[in-house]
Amino acid sequence: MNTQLYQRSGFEPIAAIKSRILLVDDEPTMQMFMSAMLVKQGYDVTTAGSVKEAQEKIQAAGFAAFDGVVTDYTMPGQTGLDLLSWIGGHDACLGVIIVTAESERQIVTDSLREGACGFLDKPVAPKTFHSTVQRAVGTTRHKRRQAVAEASVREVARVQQMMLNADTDTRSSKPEIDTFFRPKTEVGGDFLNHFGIGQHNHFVLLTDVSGHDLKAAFISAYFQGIVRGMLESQASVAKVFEFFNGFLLREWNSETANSKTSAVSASIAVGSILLEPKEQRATVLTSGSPLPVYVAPNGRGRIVGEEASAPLGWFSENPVKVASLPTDEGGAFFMWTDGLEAFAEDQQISAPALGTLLLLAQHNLRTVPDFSSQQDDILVTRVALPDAQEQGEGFLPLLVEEYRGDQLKHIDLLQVFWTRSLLFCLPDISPDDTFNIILAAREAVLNALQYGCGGRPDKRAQFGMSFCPAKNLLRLFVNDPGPGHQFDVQQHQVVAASELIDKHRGLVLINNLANKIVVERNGAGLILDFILDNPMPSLENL
Amino acid sequence: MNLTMTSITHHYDAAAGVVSVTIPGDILSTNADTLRDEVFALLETPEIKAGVWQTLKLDLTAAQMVDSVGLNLIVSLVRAVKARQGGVAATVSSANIQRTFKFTRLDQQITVTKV
Repeated sequence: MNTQLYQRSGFEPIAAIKSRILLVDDEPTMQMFMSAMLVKQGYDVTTAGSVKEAQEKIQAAGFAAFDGVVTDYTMPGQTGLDLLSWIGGHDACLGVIIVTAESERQIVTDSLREGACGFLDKPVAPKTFHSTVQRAVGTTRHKRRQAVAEASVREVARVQQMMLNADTDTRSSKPEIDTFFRPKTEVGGDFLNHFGIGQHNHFVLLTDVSGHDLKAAFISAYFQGIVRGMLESQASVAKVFEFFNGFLLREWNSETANSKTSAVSASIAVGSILLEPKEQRATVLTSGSPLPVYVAPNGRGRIVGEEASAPLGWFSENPVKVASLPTDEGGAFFMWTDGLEAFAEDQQISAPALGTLLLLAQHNLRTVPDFSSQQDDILVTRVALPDAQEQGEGFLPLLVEEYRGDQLKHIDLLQVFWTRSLLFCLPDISPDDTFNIILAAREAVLNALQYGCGGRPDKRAQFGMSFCPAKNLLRLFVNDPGPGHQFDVQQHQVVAASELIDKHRGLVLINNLANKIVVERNGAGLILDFILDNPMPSLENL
Repeated sequence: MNLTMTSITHHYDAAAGVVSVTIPGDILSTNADTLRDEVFALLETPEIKAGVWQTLKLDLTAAQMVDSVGLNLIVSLVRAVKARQGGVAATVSSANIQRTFKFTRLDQQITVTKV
């Protein structure tokens, strides 16, 4: 062990070793007097007769060698304030006390402004001298402990970001992964890991450990390491999660565990995707995390999975939810942690719209929003299936919603929510485009809830909004469980106007608001395209 | 969205034969029934019902959006006014609402002026 380093690390108790003081005074008598007092009080003293000599001694021994500096103000050449300024420029932790005469009161003000942690009047009273030096030493050590801790946190944050972006899979056919991560503090418990399994498969793991601090970051890294190790040893994903759930309950969160481990107490929300290209299948396994969204190559988004579950470490029942879907079409998955949902709720916008904005911001294509109200770590990732760019158009989701038929009466609130989400994600969109999109969405959803669902609470309609940056295209999807209604809009809109018919005017509106309409299942499914007026920033990087 | 719950206001100019109705905001599926009741109740007031007027002027300048249910309300007003050999004129401030009237061809049934 490097004892010198240990002793100067700032973690040892003050009483354990002698604190070292640099005493600077050009008057030999005064220097001797103060030195004697310091030695008597148990300090190790180094003396200097000028600022220049003090600087040389500090540079020779290193700033960390001293726990405090006591310097006279008036000295030939440079003053004590000059020394204070020089020290402050190199080591803001080292406490400096300026000794002044009665006639130099203004110096006190100046020295405090420069960062001195104390001052002493001449003649120096032993009692005041002792307490002032002791306080300076305490301040130095406190600041150094803080600096070490902050540097450690910054280093963890750097490593976390580096590991987050690490791509260890060297195979040519693998998903493209984009990730935005913003911990609440410097580091957090959210983490993303992705790696190849066996010859063909790929695994993406998103975790959210309770808490957003170093402990959470540490547990997250520990968990990810175990998962990777077990998966590479041929364990199934479900078994790994099940194992860790039991492990947390048994060893970290159990009230009957010994006191050392029961203090750990942690839960882990996980979202994961196992991609099996040979089987053309993706298996989504979640426990406590928001359900992922899958966006097909045509932009249609859907939530994968039926219901959210508890995170690992809460209950003994297996909390892992599994859902599979074919991947032969291509497309992309979007996953995020609950911090994103909380922030989206705070902004009164949809989580997919926020996630899309953050992924665009990651490529400097949007401005990162004001995070001052951020309450949790935020992580969002896009997992584009291999060759997805060739197969699809690269749609990003803004809304993936499902409404009950009886939510018809809340259409105004829904409209405000859509508008906020749209404008938050695409702030450059023109007012005319906004009007067209929102009115068409209102009409389509009204139609779906009123006629497709009959206004019933047990019937549901799906509404989606996706954006394709490459084509500057915004696409709406509306589906309801009804039979639809076959009729000729072009013919109807002429008759409806001339004969003042008050039916199907919503469909006439939609027909004129959208650039293109695809009618599915007799109108029970609609796909509406809007080519945006204002070109969005280039997305070559995405 | 300008969805206000304020009631309509009106002015009857018997000499000019014009009933003016100011709609306080958007006309949407969620407030169209209320507005319909208010406007038709107004047309049923003895003074206006018995009056000799030919034009119903709708001031829609506070509206930012009129949806299909809102358009249907206007259609029903056109019908009612036509039944007494009158016509409807609308004033709008939103170009988008003017566009909505145009592509639903309601501009062929009413006079639309943008201010």
